[in-house]
Amino acid sequence: MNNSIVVEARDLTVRFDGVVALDAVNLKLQKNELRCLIGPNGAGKSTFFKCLAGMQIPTSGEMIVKGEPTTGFDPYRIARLGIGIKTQVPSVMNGLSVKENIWLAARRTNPTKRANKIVSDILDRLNLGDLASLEVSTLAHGQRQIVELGIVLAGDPWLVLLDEPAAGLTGDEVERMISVIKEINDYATLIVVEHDMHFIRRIAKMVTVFHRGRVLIEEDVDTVLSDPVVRDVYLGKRQ
Amino acid sequence: MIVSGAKEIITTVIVGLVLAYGLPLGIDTFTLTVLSIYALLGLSLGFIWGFGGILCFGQAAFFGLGAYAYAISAINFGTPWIPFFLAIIIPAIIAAIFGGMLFFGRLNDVYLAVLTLVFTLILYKFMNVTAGEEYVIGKARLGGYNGIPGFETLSLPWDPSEYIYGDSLFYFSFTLLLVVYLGLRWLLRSPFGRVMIGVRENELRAELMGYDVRLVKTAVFAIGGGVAGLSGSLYANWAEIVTPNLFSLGQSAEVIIWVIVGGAGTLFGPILGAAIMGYLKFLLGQQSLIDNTLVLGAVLVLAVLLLPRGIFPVIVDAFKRRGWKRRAPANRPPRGRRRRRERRDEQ
Amino acid sequence: MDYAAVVIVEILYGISVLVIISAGLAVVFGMMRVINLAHGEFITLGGYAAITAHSLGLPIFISILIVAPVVVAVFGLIVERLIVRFLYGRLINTMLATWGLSLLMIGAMTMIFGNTTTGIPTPISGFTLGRYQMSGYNIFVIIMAIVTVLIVYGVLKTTRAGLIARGAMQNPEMANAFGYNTSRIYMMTFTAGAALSGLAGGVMAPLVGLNPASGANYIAKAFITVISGGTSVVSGMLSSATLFGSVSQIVTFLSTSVIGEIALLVAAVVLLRLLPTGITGRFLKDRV
Repeated sequence: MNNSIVVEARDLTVRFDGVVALDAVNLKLQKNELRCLIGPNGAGKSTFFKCLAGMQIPTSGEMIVKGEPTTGFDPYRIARLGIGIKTQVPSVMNGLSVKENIWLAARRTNPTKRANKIVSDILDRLNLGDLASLEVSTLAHGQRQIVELGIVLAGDPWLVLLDEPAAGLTGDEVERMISVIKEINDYATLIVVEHDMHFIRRIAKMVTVFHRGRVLIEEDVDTVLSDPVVRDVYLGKRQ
Repeated sequence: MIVSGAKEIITTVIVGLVLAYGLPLGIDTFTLTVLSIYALLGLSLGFIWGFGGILCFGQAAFFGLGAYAYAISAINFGTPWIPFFLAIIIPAIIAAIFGGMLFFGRLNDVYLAVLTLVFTLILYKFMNVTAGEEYVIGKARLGGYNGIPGFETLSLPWDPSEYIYGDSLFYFSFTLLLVVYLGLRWLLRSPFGRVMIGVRENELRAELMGYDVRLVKTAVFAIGGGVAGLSGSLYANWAEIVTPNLFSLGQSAEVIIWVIVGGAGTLFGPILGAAIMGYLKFLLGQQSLIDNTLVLGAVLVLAVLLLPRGIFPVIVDAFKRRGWKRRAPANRPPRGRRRRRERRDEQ
Repeated sequence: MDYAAVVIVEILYGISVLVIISAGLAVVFGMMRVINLAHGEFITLGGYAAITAHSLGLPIFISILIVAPVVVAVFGLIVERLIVRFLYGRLINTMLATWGLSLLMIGAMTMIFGNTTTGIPTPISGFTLGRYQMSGYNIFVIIMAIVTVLIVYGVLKTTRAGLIARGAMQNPEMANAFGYNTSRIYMMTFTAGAALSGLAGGVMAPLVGLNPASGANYIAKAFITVISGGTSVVSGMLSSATLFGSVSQIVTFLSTSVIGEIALLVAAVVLLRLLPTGITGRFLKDRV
């Protein structure tokens, strides 16, 4: 049974200059799960995400991926474990074309020919064919989000981390994002950090709610969304 | 910008032949040789800065190391060709070690600039105090500020009595310039080159793709060091003496000026910048009204303020209107600032 | 016992020189995140100003302590208005432009003062400590370093101008919103930094032979002191000056002064490798 746990955080704590961003968080993720992390701003979900992605070194505690401790790994070592990461602000190579961006991701693990094939597959899959030769800096925010998703997919990850994938997307793009996320979930495990409740409702199965650096509740989506405490946390923040 | 390799080689060779024939008609080959050598040095910085995103303020260090490596080993071996290759390999290795230390420490921007500058100064100061008898490498005395004269210069491999000097040294240097230019173009089109441009564009994304950015940058820096070393060894052959001034701050500044004037972000720009500024320096050297350094400084100030992209991209834009857009220089401020801002947002 | 005193004074002197030649750079870098690569030439200009004033008949201490800083401050003001203010927020471009300025100044000073080495005599005579001959001027340099640090600290910490400047550097929009003119604050800060560089040039003038390219002797040491110190102006500069000053003087005792300087530079490279954000980036955050 233990084999099916692919990601595990043990007492993960992050402090910035006296502020506790994560407070001894414990979290387990099953293989092929689609887990959403939600919570108000500053709840710690993004910090948790960064610890997992190697972009933040935890003050204490451990991160374990497939039984191997990865605490303090650089991002490239995390990526080499087969983990694909989409950051909050789209992190793309602005001066390169859409195609070149995706190609670079595909080429790391594949020879050139195979990489070219992967690129054209992904361009089709994400409907990016028309934009293929445009410089990424010329694209709209939503399109850049999709390009970044393409970069992530090109690495053929078994675990995909998405930080606010729906931010800045148009209605059509949201639909495409949802279908791609569901498609990825057929063969890979996903962690999605998101603000947008409508989006969460559409994709989520299990949801972990962060609040003030701790895990507030971890339940299936319907239970979480009808939970009065969760609503207080969110509404309290919105007022 | 996707020009087939064969077409590019043919173009470069034709342009090269025209220049090799035409230039000596107007300028003596002694000057042209040193301009080719400068162009090679400019190319080395243009490569690591414009395409690797590494701004080295001390590229003169590897130029000087190449020159010294050639001179010292030429005295010890008594033949020119082993030293010639050592003068490429030794600076490349030193660049790999020093660069590795910086990049694995994740030093960037201003720290990288200052430390590369300090590196050059350490060499400059050290070489200046090596006048004593005790500073000897093999048979070669380092000679302090007087430098090292009297080493074996390049000759034909099959006939050591036929020295390569004068016109033939120009053709040799110029050919090497073309070969290195084509080699770097080829490298940029290879998967490694694309990764290196990717790293320049967005280090975090390159990391998240699984590339070890530190290793890529170290490799780029080492290649730049090797090319600078080659240029230094040619310089040693041209000047027939090497002195600590090769490591001076002024020398480092000049390389930067060439690249800025010509335009970082292209390979041809730095070559053009080095040739233009080198020739300007030569012309200024023939008069005593205005100080040489003053003009160089003024050019740098004005170039940064008025032409941050350099001359060459501006010329190309004027001709092409588009097409070169993707080759926008690494130091173009708006993008750099945007990128930094994004990175900060992500933290 | 006397020997120990001599060694301690020498180490203090080494630290003081670093403080004096770095102060101008530290203020400008710490407050504005601008690296002035012409800093060495600012110091040289201060030296020439002092020497010229003295040769025109002004008393030596007036030349050193007043003429040098004023001349360089005015020059700094001009430079800020003509060059630096267009480049705020573009660190690398500022470095490049000021590097150009540095060459320009070397060229101009060569044309004006000639490519020869000049100097002024030390105005304070030496004294003996036991069996050892001590330089009185070195003691003066130590005192000047202390005064410089106190002035910078005092201005930053206790005056209204210092408070506004610190606030504006941390958050320009906020300062603008409060009605402070950040452009003017930058201008004044740069000018103040230039004045400190000029003072350094004046104070150092009797100690070194001055020529147009002298700036290169200061620049590397000043840079690494400031960069290694980190962005806290006073505590950063003091901590790294103490470290490097001691390293360089101790190595100088054991070998020669050039090897001492090389040791200083090597120590800096190693330190920055270990602490990429400088000493205060790691240990003394949030100090002035």
